[in-house]
Amino acid sequence: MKAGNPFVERFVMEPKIQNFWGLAHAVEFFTMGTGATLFLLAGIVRMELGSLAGVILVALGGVSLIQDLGRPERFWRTMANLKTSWVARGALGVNVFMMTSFLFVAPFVLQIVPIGITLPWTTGSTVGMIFLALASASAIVVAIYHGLVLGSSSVIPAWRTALVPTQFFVNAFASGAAFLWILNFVTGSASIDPRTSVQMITLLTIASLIILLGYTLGLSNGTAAAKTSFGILTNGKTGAYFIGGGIFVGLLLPTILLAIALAVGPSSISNTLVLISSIAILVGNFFSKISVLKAGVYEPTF
Amino acid sequence: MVRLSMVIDVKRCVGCYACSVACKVENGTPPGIWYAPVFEKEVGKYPNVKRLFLPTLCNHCKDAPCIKACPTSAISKRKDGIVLVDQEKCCGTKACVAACPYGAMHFYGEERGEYGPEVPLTPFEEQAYKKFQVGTVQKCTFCVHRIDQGNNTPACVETCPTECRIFGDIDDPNSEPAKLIRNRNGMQPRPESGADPSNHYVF
Repeated sequence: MKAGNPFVERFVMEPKIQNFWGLAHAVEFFTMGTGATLFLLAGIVRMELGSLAGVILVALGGVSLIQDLGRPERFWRTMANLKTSWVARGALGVNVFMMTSFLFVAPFVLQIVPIGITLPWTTGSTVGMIFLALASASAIVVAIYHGLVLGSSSVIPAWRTALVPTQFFVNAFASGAAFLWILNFVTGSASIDPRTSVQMITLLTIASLIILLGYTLGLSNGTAAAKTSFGILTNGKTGAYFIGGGIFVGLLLPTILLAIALAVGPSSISNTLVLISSIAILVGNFFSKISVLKAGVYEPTF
Repeated sequence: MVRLSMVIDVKRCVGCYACSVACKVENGTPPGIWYAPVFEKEVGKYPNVKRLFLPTLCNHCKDAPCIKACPTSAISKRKDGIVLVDQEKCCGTKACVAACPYGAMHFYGEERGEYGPEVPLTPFEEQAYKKFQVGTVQKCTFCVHRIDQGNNTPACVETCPTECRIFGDIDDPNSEPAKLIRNRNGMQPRPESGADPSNHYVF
């Protein structure tokens, strides 16, 4: 509206807090991001159990998303507008991922649960590798699209920044790597190099922390709606989720513990520290997702 | 090209809410869904206090963000510029609710009457709510059913006692709204959204 008009100058509406996306979307963002990156990383180190866990996590995210739709029976329509809608692109990515990743892990599942069916490919065969390549490509879309869905909302300043998709992607990778480390530790597998993986988790966690702090700082210096979002993220229940869960438990604590673990070197103490850090990263990732969603505030129309 | 639009003459609005009520009666929207809300604000300090009123509705944007955000292509624009939701295609992702800069998209989550969940629907509600599918998004249609029948006046426009809502084709330079925009420097709400809203306000 034009400045200088006494009516317009006085008629400034209050920013409005969004309430249409909440817990179900946080669950979906967390499980899909973690699952997709877990699948990618497990594919690189050839850890089939990790791939299977990734598929299950993405499937859980899909179930959470579908049950949150107003008309769940019409979920198949969500791929109709690929030209402009990030939700549609993400839905396509999830569907391609589910099909190809399922075909990739199917021989491994049949090894664990023998039901008398033999598939004409294995996870290590050429066909298996083609499924892995297709699933990995779509896993990148699955890991990144949530942030882009939020980032494409031009009217909610807490979401429309490029830092949201970046932070979601980096945090998802940290969670996927942490989940893979937990699986490796629990099963006693020799699939991953412990020191390299711990270094990777540490770097991703530090990167995620820097981006999240930059994001928070950006909100504190933004528009009235951005400042309202900053207030939500730093006060009350959502503030406790964001600062306590997302930043302290999910990023600061793991950074300190992982640094100690790297300094100590391979030992049972460092393993315990990395295990605690990995669990904390996963918990913190979920809290940061729910916080960013709850901090969504519309710019006033006038 | 025809571009149906509404010009709102804020100086004339007396805050009677007749437009909001007329819209409710005409469209029979469920509880919590107001296609034509009027915002109000109190300004000044006693004794110089004043209430300001701002009638609103869907802006039927030329470059509507809701159309871009909808994954199911359930939202479309007619040749006359009216943006409509096809309830049969809508699956309730609420992506349009997140995208609309004007808060004009309303998610219809559950069927209940105005008098609470324990009270059965009134005969009017039973009849009116039939056309709304639970789990879909609803929005102002510029009373498209009236326009298609040849009555080129939405209910809110017809009801307004001060004629503060003026409806017509702004692409026709001789239409009343086009003249108002031209002569009284009509302004779009939040033009920085890039949506190019069709509705204009004159002060």
